[in-house]
Amino acid sequence: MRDQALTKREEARLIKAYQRILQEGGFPNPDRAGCPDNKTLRAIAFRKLGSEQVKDWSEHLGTCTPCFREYTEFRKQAEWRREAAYLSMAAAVILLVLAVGWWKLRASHPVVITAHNRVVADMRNRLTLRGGQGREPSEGPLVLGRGIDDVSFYLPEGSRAGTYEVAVFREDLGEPLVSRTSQATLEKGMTVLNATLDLSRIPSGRYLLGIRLPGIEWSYYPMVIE
Amino acid sequence: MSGDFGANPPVWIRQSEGSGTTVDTDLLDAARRNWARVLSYARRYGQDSSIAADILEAALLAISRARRTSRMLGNPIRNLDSYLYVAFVRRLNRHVARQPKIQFVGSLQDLDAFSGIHTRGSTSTVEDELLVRELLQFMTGRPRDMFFLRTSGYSWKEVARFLGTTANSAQVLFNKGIGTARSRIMKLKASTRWPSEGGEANA
Repeated sequence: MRDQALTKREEARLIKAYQRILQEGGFPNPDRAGCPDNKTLRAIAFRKLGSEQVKDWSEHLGTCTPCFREYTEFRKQAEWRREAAYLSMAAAVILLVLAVGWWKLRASHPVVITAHNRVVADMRNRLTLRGGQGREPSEGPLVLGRGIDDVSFYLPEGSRAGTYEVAVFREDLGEPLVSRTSQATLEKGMTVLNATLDLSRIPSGRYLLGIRLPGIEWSYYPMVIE
Repeated sequence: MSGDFGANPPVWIRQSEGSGTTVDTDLLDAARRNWARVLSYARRYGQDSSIAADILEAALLAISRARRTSRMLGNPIRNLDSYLYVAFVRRLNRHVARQPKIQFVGSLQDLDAFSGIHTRGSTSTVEDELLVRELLQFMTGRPRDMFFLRTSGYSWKEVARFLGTTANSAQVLFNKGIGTARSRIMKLKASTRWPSEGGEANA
């Protein structure tokens, strides 16, 4: 035996040895003399009892095999519950991180809608915004669906046939988000411009649709992409 | 005066100390409650009911005397059953330790029966168990309580909270207790002369 203090390893060995003695019937108590009730043992194991009460029972627990066995079972339950609580907390945190990550990823990469729509846009009575002036709208904004839209634009009366540019702008204008050049033809007294617009990468919202003859000022129409 | 505990086997214990002072009823009740328990413990170490009864009586009378003193000091016993049982265990262990380690058997058949006995676990396991028993026997109250708490899975931090001190101080206190127990054991071993060691067996 050494005179120095016990190392952690030595202490653990002694504790294990004593636990073995207790578990293997080293301190029998056939009549359960002086034993605490089941509730008290459970409360000690689940660390629900005050220090003064624990001190009252610690000596008994260390010298009574049946009590120590019951206590060990309760302790296992308590440990299991604690581990389960930690695991569920960790799982919740992981789920939250995954959800936030997925949401961020979704926000940074707009969803591409690949639907193919056929739309007729009658522009003959619609509000035209040109240089801050315009007429009163007779209808609401033009509504196009997200995806690839084949649009037949019925241009305002008096529009001549020829090459037109069609573009989608943000409401504050700037560079067009989508732009196409297409040929307008006269059909049954109407000027019809067929153009395929790829609106699959544009998030839903309010925009402006611009139409012009090359080299001439844009005519803007309010538009909603759904 | 004596009390029959009516257990199987029955036990008779004096109800008054040598000075004539009567032993408290609750102490006698505790002895009665714990009789089966102490008897089971004694039998595990090959001791019969008469030795168990003698040791229980000695422990009971010693506690009765100590209790009067501690009552005067305002330091009551927390759990009488445990206190009595631990006092009994310590006395019995000391009694067992004093007995010769050589066991005589009546016949060759009895001797053959021992050849089938195996100790469970490794030598170090058995050594650890012997060491912890011996240390606990010589440990004083506080370090022993700390050891019981540690055995019940309490961390040093929790043990320190019970004692109203820091984890470090609690460990220092515990190690001091272990050191005291060790020196007591060494002192006892130095003063004890076993028959086989002293040469009396040959005399």
